[in-house]
Amino acid sequence: MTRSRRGSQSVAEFFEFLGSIRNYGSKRVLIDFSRVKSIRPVACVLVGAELEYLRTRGVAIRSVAPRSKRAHEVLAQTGIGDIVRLERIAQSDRQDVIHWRRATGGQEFDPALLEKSLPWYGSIPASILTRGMVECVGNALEHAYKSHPAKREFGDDCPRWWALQQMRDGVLTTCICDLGIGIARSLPLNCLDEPGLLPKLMAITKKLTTGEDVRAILAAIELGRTSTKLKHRGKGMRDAHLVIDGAKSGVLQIYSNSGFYQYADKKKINRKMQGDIHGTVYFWSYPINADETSELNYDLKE
Amino acid sequence: MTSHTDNISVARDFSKNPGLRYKRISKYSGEEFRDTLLTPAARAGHRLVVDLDGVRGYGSSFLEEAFGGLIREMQWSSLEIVNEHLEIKATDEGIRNEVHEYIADAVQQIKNSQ
Repeated sequence: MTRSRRGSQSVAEFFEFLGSIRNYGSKRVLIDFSRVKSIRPVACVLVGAELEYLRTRGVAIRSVAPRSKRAHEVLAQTGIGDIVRLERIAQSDRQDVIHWRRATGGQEFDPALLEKSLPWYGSIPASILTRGMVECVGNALEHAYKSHPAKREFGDDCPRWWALQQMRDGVLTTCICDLGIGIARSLPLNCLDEPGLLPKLMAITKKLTTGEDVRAILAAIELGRTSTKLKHRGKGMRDAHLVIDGAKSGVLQIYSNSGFYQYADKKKINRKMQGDIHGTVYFWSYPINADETSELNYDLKE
Repeated sequence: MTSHTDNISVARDFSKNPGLRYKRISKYSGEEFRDTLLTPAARAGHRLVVDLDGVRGYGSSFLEEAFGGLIREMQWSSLEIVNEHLEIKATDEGIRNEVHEYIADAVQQIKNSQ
């Protein structure tokens, strides 16, 4: 099997795993992490969110610990260990473990929580990363859980957004995730009070053949770029880009349902993913020191 | 003419961690800031000098709802009227310009609706 086929297979397996958690219908589940060797931030934030959603639906979760000590430590550090009742492990002092940090929040956002839980700022002013994070949480709370046939039912005790931060090899990575209806479903609802706007936005992307979710991400970015009669809705997308512009290096990725978008080095790429994450993830990664170079390769592109 | 000036510091008088747009989804929202500090003073005829320095960071939605929302609530229909009642202070020129952009857009909305 070629390397890319292996990658493609592992991504397909990941989507299958995510779907099996999301659609789980019994009262008890045993999750086997024994073969997990490494965890990437986007996958980690999504799995953590789905597992927490599963737990708040009343499913009793037990788990088998990873054979890899480091993977076990990361699951503990990111809070997933508590959600799945993983056996306790002594607190690690490894640099590639202790700099994973996690934050979640419910229907009311407390901005002080971000400062308390995710204190890394990196080489850009704290205000720029804060702006990006705050506005993406804002997108989740203001738009992602609007009334729609595809909206999931959430108990009051289930978070509405999840954030992870990782510092590794001089690169700061931050992810914010929601399990909402996705941009393609929320954007039309946001444009209801300005008739004609949505067709204009979507027309800009009509030649794309990468699917409705990608078109909606690009349309939402366009909404944030242009001034409209709407009260500056969509500016969260602009703020998300400003993080990378401020860092002068790095990558922004947006995953929404099956749509993928990346902004790096002023270049934009997009594609339809192999599966649907049933939510939205914003991902930033940039070097802390401008003279350090690191491979930025955390996406689900294969 | 305004007879009294209120100096308002977001960091000192409201929060060092401003939140999102609306009260229903966020502590320390732009709506709360406007409703508790800006609009009452403006309705009392006070001139407002608002200092934006000293916070961890602002989201666009906080700034738009606070200042664009103030203009809409007060129905200030020209920048001359706004300048008579409101002054924005911020070390970061980008933040200052952004707030002025939201104010100008809100003034234009009001003009268009008249």
